[in-house]
Amino acid sequence: MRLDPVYVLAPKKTPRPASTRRMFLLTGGAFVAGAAVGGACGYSMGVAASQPQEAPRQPEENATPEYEKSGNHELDELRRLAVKAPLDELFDKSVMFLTMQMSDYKTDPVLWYGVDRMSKEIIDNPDRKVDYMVIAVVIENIKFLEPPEKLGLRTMIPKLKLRRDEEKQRK
Amino acid sequence: MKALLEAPVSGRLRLPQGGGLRGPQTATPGGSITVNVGPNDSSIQVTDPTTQNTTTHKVEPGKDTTIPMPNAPGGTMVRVQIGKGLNAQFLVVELQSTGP
Repeated sequence: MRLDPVYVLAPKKTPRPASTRRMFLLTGGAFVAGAAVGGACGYSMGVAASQPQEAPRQPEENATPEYEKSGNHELDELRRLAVKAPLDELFDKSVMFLTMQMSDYKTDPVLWYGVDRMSKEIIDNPDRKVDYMVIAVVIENIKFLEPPEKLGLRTMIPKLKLRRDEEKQRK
Repeated sequence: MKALLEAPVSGRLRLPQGGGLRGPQTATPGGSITVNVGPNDSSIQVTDPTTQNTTTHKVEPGKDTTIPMPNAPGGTMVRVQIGKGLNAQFLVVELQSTGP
């Protein structure tokens, strides 16, 4: 009996498993990173959910308008002072503001919001040092020009006069 | 450029005495005041708030010039101005009646 050789493919070598220590470190690092990101997201979501929701703001009756650009650089700057500039800046430039309102821009409706802001600050904040002559100029603009009725500026004149006299006494 | 508002020792803010415009802070109605205008301005505007009228007066820059005050009631704050627009300088003059 003759035996013929039979060639059989050698079994594939099974791939060596990765180093257990390296896998452990990678897996552990991924877990820690995932836990950190997930924890941060969860915390911020929890904080946001726990804060009370603000009711939608109703527009105030006399809310200062978003002024539109007039195309006149000078008027736009005065409007910015009236509506957007900090009170300190508005008071710093009050004489210029009020004089230009009277001489050049007496019909501009936006500038009256600046007069309104100044008037309320003068009345409500006696700690703000305002020269009595500035208060007098504010009163004159209200008296001699035509402020919009809705701002109620004319009703503030008696209190403005009291503040003017107080400041004059201090001088 | 001089600061627009000065804080004297008392800490109170005063109206500006702009670098280019100097003058008194009081005047008599219908009277006049003497102002000194800087070298770059040749005219001065005076606004009477009771009428909103503005009058312009030619001045000699760098020299003392006398300008008339409106005949408005005592307590009126007359606005005196040199220059135009946002770079103008201002002086507020209070009219004080001298009569009874």
